[in-house]
Amino acid sequence: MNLAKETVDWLDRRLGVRELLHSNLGGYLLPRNVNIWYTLGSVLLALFGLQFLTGLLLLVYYVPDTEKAFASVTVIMNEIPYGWLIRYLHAVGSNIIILFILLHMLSVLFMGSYKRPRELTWLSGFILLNIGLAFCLTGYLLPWSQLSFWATTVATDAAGAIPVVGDQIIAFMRGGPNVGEATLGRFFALHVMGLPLVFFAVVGFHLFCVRRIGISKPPFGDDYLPTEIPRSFHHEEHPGGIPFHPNYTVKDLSMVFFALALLVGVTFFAPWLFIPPAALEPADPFNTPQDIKPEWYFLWAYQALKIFPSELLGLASQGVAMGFLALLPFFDRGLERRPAHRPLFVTLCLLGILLFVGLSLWGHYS
Amino acid sequence: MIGGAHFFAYQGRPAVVVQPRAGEFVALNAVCTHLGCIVKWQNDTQDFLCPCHAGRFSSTGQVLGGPPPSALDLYTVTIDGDDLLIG
Repeated sequence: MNLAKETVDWLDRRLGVRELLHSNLGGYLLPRNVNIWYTLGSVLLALFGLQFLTGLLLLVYYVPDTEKAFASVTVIMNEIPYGWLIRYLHAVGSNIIILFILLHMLSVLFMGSYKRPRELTWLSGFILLNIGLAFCLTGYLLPWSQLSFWATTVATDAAGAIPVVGDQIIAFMRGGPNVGEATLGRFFALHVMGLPLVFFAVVGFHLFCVRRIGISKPPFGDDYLPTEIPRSFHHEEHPGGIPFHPNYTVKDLSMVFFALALLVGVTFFAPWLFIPPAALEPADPFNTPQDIKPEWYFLWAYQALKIFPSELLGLASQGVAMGFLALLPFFDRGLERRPAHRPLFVTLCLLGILLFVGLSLWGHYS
Repeated sequence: MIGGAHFFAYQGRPAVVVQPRAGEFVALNAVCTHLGCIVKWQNDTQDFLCPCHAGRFSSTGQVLGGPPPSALDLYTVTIDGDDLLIG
């Protein structure tokens, strides 16, 4: 008796798993010219999975108490077997995730895959970017280091620039006038429970949108022509395409392993890239370290807060930029997706990237 | 010390007292009015620098440059023999 076959047969009789697997793997056809940029979603799922695993292991020894948090992280780093590896994978992994989210967004932007009927896919992806950043911000405080304390002080204080309700928002986020025990409790609860719950719901919706609407055909090659979008619901099929499994899962896996190699490479050989000296000292509410800087993905916002004459303008500029990106598919209604046929969009996109990089470098070296 | 600064806790918040000239003391809230970091005293330039966003304040707390929207809060200083009474 073949136990595996018997099990599948048993499940198939009850849930129709063979048909389900076929329609989502071997029978699920993708465009023949699908490229490596389409693998970034799978890479992100794998990286997030690793974050949940390492986060769960860190939870075993981490103590969310201002008197004990830094010491517990020190114990994880120095006394728990492979604790340093778990913590570095988690800390470096968060940076690699933001990098891959940005690459994923850029590929979708340049290939015009955010356009209708995929507005909700883009919007949910944009929300996931923000959830990723919120994970980073809340996780940042947990080691209760100088970097943690002052990054959180600045980030929460910025909300004070919002007219009328600014001070109430600060008090709500901190649980008091200053960053302290109540702030750590709030951020810990958000980081390990609140955000993961929202994350799972939004990822589920994002994947549902991807599968329900269908993969967009890459806008390249002689046979690509913009087509009118039907007014009623339409699942984009790719007859004559390549099967998702094994053709595409192999490509997915190769990129996942590339990302893991990058993560492990940085973790082993250059973790200091993401762990500056201020992260190695316990929090001191009476002493802000010299030259303290936020993580690379917040440097543009940090510099914007420096160059605008008022905090409100600095915050508003960030809100406008993020709001515009979130709602882009509702503004950009044209059918054309080929980058070469969208010179204005591509130019604006490149200028946006230059602005992001320029502000970040300015913030880093100022 | 003349031209020096001493940081201390005042009502649970960081504060600083400086002595720009002999016998003249200025006490200030040490929390930057921009985004809440603690200012640092620059001995060579005799002013305060915020390490977070490079705001600069004079020894009396006035904004000299950078993004801070307002001056550092001043506390009253009373000399009582060899002691300074602040607040």
